[in-house]
Amino acid sequence: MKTFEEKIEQTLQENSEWSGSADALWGKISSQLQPETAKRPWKRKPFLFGAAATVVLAFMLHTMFTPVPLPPSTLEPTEMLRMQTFSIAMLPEPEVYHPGEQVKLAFGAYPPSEWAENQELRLAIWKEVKEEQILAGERMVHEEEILGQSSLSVQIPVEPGLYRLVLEGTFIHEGQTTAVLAEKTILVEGEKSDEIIEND
Amino acid sequence: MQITEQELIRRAKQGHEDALEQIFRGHVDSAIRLAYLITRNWATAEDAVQEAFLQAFRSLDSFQDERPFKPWFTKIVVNKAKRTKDRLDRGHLPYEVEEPNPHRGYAPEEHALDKEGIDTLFHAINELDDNHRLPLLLKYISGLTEAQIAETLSIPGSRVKSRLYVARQRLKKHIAALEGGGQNEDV
Repeated sequence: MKTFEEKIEQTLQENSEWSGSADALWGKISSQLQPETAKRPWKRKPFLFGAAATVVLAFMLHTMFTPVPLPPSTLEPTEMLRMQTFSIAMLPEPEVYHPGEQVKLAFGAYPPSEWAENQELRLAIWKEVKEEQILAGERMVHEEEILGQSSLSVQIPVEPGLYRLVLEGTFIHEGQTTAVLAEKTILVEGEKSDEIIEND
Repeated sequence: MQITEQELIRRAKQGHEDALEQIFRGHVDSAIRLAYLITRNWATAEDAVQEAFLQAFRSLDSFQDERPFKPWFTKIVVNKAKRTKDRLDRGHLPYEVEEPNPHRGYAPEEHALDKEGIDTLFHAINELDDNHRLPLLLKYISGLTEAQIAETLSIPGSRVKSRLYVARQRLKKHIAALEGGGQNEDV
């Protein structure tokens, strides 16, 4: 005589017998996995869009406030460095870091424009998860952290993964407002952690 | 030599497709059964399981080798299947309500329950609300422990225990009502 529990199990098993093809299903899954693994993560659309948008924004900022372009020979070395930061040609494969390290986020400083007016200077850390970007961290950046510097020190996230660091906004020093913009893509390697991937 | 699940996961993380396939074959049957019992539609159950495997394999790097794979993966299956069922319920997909299982065959002499008994019990299970039906499915189809069910459904272990108890009581009551009080067995 079966127990009630055994009857429940039998009932559920008999009403869920699958006659589909595991081979066919595996074929579909493996075919979708291959292009995914072959594709380099930093070549994926969200990162490219994000990076491209930043470049365009930086270019617009730069051209808006330098209406008469200076001849190359007159550019200060530091100015050239700032321009290079946002050069498409330098759009980059991510630099590899380990948790706990510091990354130097080189930034450009510009006269403020409408987009940046009264916008607090913030550092946002975006993480790529399943081809989407989620905000992994955000904080205000204070004037003293960047004043007289060409880069901001940023603590590397602990969680391994691909991140995009974005520094943007304005700060006021001695009554003068300055806009700051920077972006960097990094790959954090190291000890893996168990991430809950579904939070429905 | 039998390869352990941990070893399989390690190999899968290194990109060995044979390891991924072995993981797939080890879990596909119970995943499909579970997804079907949630969605009540074979095509969408297969879609949900396909999406679940893709998500699991793409997220393997974030999975700790030493933990059992099944509860982690089952959570993904449940979420995918529930999401699909919600879409069905909202009418975004055709919903074959109470679709009869085309693969089901009875050999009453081989079973302790006859067709009528199975139908009655299955009907009663489907009458349960999700809060009480899902723990049953995870226990009897996926073979999860109560602790693993708790983790999968993100509820305390004590609540899993009580939901399983209440579910069994309701099933008994339902069957007894249908059979005119004839069913009177212990849990």
